[in-house]
Amino acid sequence: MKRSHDYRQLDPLLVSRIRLAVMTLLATVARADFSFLRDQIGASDGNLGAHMQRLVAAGYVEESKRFIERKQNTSYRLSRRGRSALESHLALLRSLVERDDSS
Amino acid sequence: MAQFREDLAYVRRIVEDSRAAMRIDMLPLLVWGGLTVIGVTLAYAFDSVDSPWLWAVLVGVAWLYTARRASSGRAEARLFAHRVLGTTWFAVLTSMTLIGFVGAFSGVLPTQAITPVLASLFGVGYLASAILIDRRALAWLAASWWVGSVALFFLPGGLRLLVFGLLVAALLMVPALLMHRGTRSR
Repeated sequence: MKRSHDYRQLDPLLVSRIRLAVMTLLATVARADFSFLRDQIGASDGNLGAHMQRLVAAGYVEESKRFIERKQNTSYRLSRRGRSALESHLALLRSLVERDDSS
Repeated sequence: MAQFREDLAYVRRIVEDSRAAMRIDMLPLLVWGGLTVIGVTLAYAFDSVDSPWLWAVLVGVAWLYTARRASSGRAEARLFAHRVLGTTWFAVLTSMTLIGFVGAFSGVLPTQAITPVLASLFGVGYLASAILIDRRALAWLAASWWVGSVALFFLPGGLRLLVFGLLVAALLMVPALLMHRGTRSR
């Protein structure tokens, strides 16, 4: 039987604080630069880059690269799949906390 | 369970902080305002340069700067509201250019009606901005532009352009400069 409050249903990709932060930030904006995400989260370039690759590979985030004043600019936006995953993850977190409060 | 609570609190904090960190690019409005003030000053200082061609050059420069700024993708992150805001101002400035040039050159619009109409369009832009970025002060600026528009309709021709220049300096450049400095110091 599938349990609606089973913590094992939490999305393993979103259990990471950095990835959760990135997804949340992207949910509030239409599009964001790598540097904006890095500055807001306080992660290093390498660390954030590795997490972004995982989110892009999972189809949660869409990446686009272009040149602005001869410098490469990488920006990201949340995909429909990513938004749905984030909403499900947060809903499950809330339900787990509410269940704990009521018990 | 403590971990889940912390995650939810973390998410809430990120949403609040990211909204506060959003920047609004005020430079194009500053450039438009600055060029208008230059145009008004030149028109009053030298009667010989008060021609539609002066305004054509100034407005052309303003549009070139706006297009370059938009294509450089300066904004690091944009709220959906900011995208709507940018579109609203694009629409307002396009309408102003059409009214100012096509209206005047075609002879359909009397030249004395142009600055009051432009002032009323600034009111539209500011009221939309007030709603979209939730700043009540901008709604007061919109009201001020409309009051200014009414005044411009009744002013004599010689004074009309001068008062319009003063309105641009006081109701466009000063607030844009304050907002620009506010976003830079954040």
